[in-house]
This record gives sequence, C-alpha cells and structure tokens, in this order.
Amino acid sequence: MTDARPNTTPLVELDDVVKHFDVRLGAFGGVRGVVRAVDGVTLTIGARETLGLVGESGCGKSTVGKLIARLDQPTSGAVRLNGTDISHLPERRLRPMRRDVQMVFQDPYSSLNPRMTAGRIVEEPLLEHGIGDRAGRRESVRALFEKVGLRATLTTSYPNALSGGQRQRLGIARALALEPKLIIADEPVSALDVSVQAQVINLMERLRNETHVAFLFVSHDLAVVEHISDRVAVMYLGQIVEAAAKTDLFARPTHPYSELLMQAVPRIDRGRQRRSAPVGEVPSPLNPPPGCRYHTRCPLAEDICRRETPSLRTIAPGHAVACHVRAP
Amino acid sequence: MTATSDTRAPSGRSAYALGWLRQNIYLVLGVAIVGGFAFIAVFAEAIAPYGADEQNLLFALEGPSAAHLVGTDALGRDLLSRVLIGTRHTLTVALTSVAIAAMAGIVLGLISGFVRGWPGRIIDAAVDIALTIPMMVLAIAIAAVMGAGVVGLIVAISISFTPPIARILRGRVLEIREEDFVDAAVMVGVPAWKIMLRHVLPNASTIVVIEASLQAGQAVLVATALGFLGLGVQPPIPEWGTLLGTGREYLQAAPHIVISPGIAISLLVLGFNLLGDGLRDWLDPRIGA
Repeated sequence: MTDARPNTTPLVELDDVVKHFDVRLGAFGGVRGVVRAVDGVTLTIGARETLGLVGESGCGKSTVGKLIARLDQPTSGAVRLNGTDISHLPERRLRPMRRDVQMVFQDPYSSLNPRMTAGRIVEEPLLEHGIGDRAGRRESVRALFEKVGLRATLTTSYPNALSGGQRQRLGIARALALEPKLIIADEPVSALDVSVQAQVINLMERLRNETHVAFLFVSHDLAVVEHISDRVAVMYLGQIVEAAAKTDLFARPTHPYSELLMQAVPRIDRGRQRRSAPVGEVPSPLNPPPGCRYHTRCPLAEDICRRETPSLRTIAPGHAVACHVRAP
Repeated sequence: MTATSDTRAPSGRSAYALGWLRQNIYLVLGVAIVGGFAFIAVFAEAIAPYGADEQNLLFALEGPSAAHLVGTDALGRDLLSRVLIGTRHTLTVALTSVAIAAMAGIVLGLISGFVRGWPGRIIDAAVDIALTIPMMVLAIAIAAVMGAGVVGLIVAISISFTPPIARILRGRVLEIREEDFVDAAVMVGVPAWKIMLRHVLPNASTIVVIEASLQAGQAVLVATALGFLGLGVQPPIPEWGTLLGTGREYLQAAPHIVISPGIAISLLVLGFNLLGDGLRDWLDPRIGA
C-alpha cells in the first residue's frame, strides 16, 4: 500500500464547499428553512485515484458528486478541476472542461433517453465534441461497446430492450467516450440485481486499471467501497468526519461514526461480534445540531462536542479525522 | 423459436390484432371518421353531384328529393354538394389552426418548462392569464379585431388554442428535466437548446399529439361557431358554420337547410374526440380515464 495522497496538483480540489438548498412553500412563500446538504467540505481527488465517498442516505454525498460534475453550483467555496475553479464558470467556458469529468448514474432507467438507440447514446459525446468523422465515430462506438462487454449488434437497440446490467454498461460506455480523467459513479450498482452488481463492479475495476481514470465512488455499500477504493472519505450530515487510505480506515476507524459504520459491515472471518447499536436517528440537515454534528448519537460525546465544530486534523500521513475526543 | 410456435404464429397474431382492435375501438372509429372526412375534403368535387355554386332558383328551398338528397337552399343550390365541398374549408381551418397552435405551444411550453429564470416565468404568467379567458370568448374577440375571413379565423383559433398546449407540455417538460439522461447530456457537453430538441421534446411529443387531436375537435366547433356568427369564412364559400348561419334565416320555412351541416359538424367533432381519446389510451395508458 503506497501513500495514496497526490503529490502534485490534485485532479479535483474541494475547498470549504457549502451547498444550501432553500426550502420554500408555495409560489410566493419566502424561505422557510435551509437544508445544509453540504456544509464545509474540503476534499481532494488525485489523478488515477479511486476515492470512495460513504455515508447514510441524505448525508450529502450525492450532492458532492453533483457539485464536482457542475450539475449544481455551490453556495460558497471553490471546486477546482486541474487547478481551475469551475464552480461559477459560465456553461460556454465550462463545456470543453466537461470532457475531463463524466458521470455514471444510479438509476440505469432514468439515465438513458428512451428515444435514442444505444449506439447514438454513446456516439453523442463524440458528436458534440467534434471527435472523428461518421465512420470514425462508428468505429469508436463499436470499440466502446466491446470495452464494456456489450455486443456490437446492440447499437441499434433502444434502451427498453436492454437489461439493467446492460443499461449500466451502456452508461459506463457513454462516460468513457470522452476519455475523461475522472468518473463520478453515484451509487452505480445499488439499483442492480445482486448477481449483476459484481459484474459491473468488476468492469469498473478493470476499466480503471486499463485506462487509469480516477473514480469518485459514491456509495452507502461499504463492502463495495472497500473492494474498489484507494482512499475513503466518510460523510455525516454534510461534513466529512474522516478520510484515510482504505486499509487504514477499515483497520483503524478513528471517528466514532466511522467505527459504527465499519462494525456494520458483515464479515465472514469475524464471526459473531458484539456491535454497539446506533443510538437515535440521523438529525435533519434542515436544522443540524450545533457543535459536532454527531454528538447527539455519539457514545463519547463531551461538553466541547456540543459547543464547537471539530475540524479535520491529520493524525497520521493521509489520515484525517474530525473529532474532539479521538483527535484532539 | 420452435417449429410449433411458428405454425401457431398466424392465428396468435390475428387473435392479438382482434384484441388490439377491441381495446382501441375509439381510435379505430376516430381514424375512420376523420379519415372519411379527409377523403371527402380531397375528392369533394368528384363526389358531389352538383357544383358548390350551381344555382337553380326553380328548385329553391326544396326538401329532400331524389335529385337533391338533402334538399336545396334559398338559391336552389344542392345542399349535399355544398356540405361535401365545405368539408375542405372547415377541415383546413381547423387543422391549420391546430398545427400553428401546436408549434407555438411547443416553443412556449419547452421554454417555460426548461429554461429556469425570467423567460420561463414570463411565459408561464402569460399562459396563466390566457387560460383564464374562455377559449371561445378569446377566439371571438380576436376574430372581431382581425376582421372576418379565413386568415382572421385561423389566427384567432391558433392564438386561443396555444396556451393549453404550452401548459400541458410544460408539465411534461418539468418532469423530463429531472431525468438523469438530461444531466448526462449536460455532462457530455450538449448545449441547452439541443437538449430541449433532442432529449426533452421527443419524450414529450406523445402528450402534444394527443392534446392536438382533441383540440382539433374543439377547433371545428370554434371555426363553425365563428362562421355561424359571420366572423369566420364568408359566404358564398360553403363552410359549415357559414351554411348554418345562412340557413338560420329560413329555419321556419326550410329547417332541412341546417340539418345536414349540423350533422356534419357533430360527426367530425365526434371523430376528433374519439381519435384523441383513442390515441391517449393507446400511447399513454398512464393518463387514461
């Protein structure tokens, strides 16, 4: 295991990124509340690195993905791609940079236009970026189909003729078409049958090893994340509570929340084990608790946790934790 | 495919076709009626026993007879021929108006549903206001301003039929905009206008087709109503509403004059409504009644 930290300019840098959603009621209703979906996230993804982003549903991990993809703009903070802050670039200037970041979506049904053939779906990125002539594009599409394990005869099929696994392979082929430097995979297998999940994970792993593309792997499935990631960041209520190399994190989870998550992973070799049961519910991001977000459920909570928000502190090379008790 | 299923295929297919026909009986009837009128509109001169303007004052205001199957009008013109030839005028006005309304509605609906910010909001507010005015009143007002005649009629109907299409399309566009394939298109660098045309519109077209065919029936009613009021197609052109309007003067003496255009109007409206309902059931079972 090498140190997974990038030593040159990272591919993606999130600098204290905040995304708030206003909650309005009715057409003339004022702002009734603010959902703090992402609240001060600082994160880097190095070239060729696979970063797993884990957390419960609603913790803001998908929003982080959308902000890096610039499908959404942050309320404050900077999202840098190759050193350029893309968070407020106009779409016209952004478009050439979009080649570098592609996305694989969670729902393989919603992510494919039902009125386009499979071949056309994969060809569209090439067409829009003016890559190749008609014959060249057709050849590229065929190569991409082969790369993701789809038969070339499927190019003329419409998505409704494809299975869930085939659809997700098609989504991956589309994401690969522009030879991106980063692929954001937002729960790419959670909508698939378990038997197909492994195939798609293996496909992504193979592609990563062949093309050296970096991955942001957003998931709530720790087993999958452990399998595929180099580094893992744990999110809780819009903040990152711990980030470390995969082996470090899974061997020595330091934040009490990470600890709880790791214990929840079923393991064959561990047998029956005492698990500390999670206490209470995840508080609403509409009105997050002050201080450390986790103090309402944390068995270690002290006075300071209720007052002050802990910042990420490096406790070992490449291992950062935000906890007053464990990383004072 | 095995040999047995191959040999069974024809009977299976015809049973399937029969089931389809039974399930889509509205669509079949609608297509038959509208298709019939379209045929008449194209070949009216060949079918009609007399010319539209052929007068024979000796036989004025006569009831149905062997020579004039549904009678004659005040100038002795054959009513059957006038109704047959009038099909073309009524159908042309209705279809042209609905086509224009559909195109305008598509543009407005796409923009108001897809473009966030002020362009969408302004269109949306304008459509809201237009929808509060009853369609017929709006059409009469516009026709009165434009003056009588075919062009005024078409303009009046297209303008008053645009808001419903824009509104219904907007709803569908708002739905489609949330689909991941729209985000995927943004990610691969497709500009917004191409996303609207290539990704959003094709997935929303069904609802426009259904709404437009239902509107065509309405357009026939509005066109003939305006003709009846003298705001539409002007005599001596034998448009159905105009035929009704001129027949009204002789309602006491010769009630047969208004019967044949009246039946024609009802039948065509019925045809378009069946067509619209049938298309809806066939193409979009989700919103079926």
